[in-house]
Amino acid sequence: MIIMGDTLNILGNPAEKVERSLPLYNSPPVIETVLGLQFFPIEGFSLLHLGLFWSRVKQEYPKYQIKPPLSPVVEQFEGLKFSPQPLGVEFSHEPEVRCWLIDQRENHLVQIQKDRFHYNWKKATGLEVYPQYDTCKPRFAREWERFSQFLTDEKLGQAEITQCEVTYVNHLDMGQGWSSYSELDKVFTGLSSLSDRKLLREPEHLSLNYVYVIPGKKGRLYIDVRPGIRREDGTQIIQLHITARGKPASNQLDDLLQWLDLGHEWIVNGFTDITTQYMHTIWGRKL
Amino acid sequence: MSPAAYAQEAQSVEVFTAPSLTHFHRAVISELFKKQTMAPNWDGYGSPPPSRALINKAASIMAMLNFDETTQGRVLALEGGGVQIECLKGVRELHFSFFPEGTVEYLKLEEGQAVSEGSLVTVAKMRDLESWLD
Repeated sequence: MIIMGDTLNILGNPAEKVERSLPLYNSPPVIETVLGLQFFPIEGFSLLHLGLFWSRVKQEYPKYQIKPPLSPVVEQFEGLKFSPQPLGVEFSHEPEVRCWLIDQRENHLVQIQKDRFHYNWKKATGLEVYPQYDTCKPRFAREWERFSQFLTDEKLGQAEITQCEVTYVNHLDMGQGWSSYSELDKVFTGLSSLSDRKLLREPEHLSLNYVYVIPGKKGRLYIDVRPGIRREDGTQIIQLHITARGKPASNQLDDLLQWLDLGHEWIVNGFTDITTQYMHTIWGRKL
Repeated sequence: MSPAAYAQEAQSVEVFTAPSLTHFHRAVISELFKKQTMAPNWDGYGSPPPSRALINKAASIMAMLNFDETTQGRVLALEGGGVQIECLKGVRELHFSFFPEGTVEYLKLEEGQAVSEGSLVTVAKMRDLESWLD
């Protein structure tokens, strides 16, 4: 991707130039992004289909891990009726799993279970440069289309999408703009100056949770801030986790991508709102 | 499960979090995770770095113990792929050694002299030892 002033050139293709109006950072603290879909469980989809699909993409995703499945989470709004799947009891001896298909460098991950599909980009070594949403989105679209084609080929029908989801995981490393919890007012807007307090200066633990409705009941934005220790290298961090989730207009790829664009826009603007200009300078804000 | 909790699970980068960790806990657990990045043969005698599973186990156990801010800690890699956590308070020291085969041993010291040692099987026993340090 080439960034040219205020113009973002997607994948270097001049025909796809779009105006960039969202904030942009040289070195944002993002460590992982997830673009995902939830759908009604695909009837007839079994463990064997996970293996069959893997055989199609194994060259690009030679590694795998088996994980417990994620539970369905659907945004509900008062007065808006969501049509759940008809209730019923299904007896199955087959364990429910989620499969991670992972590329050689462990930067790209496809997560599949019978009612979910996610594409993750993540830092594996910590040295990678975040490729930007406009690079992640086409890859998500490609992988989803491959999976959809697989469902068709296997006569499993098409997934009926219930939710789209975008997640950005940011790691704010200790020593980069903050060195103790009493300094988190330098990182996040809306916190009164902790260091000026007489008694309650440095908390032992701190967590923040915000939930916002995306206008038009299009979904919700979840912001979760909590301290942690990165298992990969032992670095003490504040994890800023932002998720946007909601229902797309239809199952069509264009509508799915349109919702992901909306979620991404809310995440980037929300990230910029909740963090301070002091940190924006550290992250090299350009727009 | 709350939506926020769900979202945590869709990510693949692993982060150690606990509801409340003291500075002591954070420093010790941070050092523990750094030990897994040691190079193979770090001691010149063919020792591997402590495994991820061993580090995870040691970190989870340490997070359950109630060491306060006045405790000082040190983390050392052991030959053979183990890890040792030393907790110091005043003249008393408590060393926990985690070994790759799954065993945990302790050593009590007072003014640098060994007082007792043994094997641990339960967190409750570790808590007894922890109170000795007070």
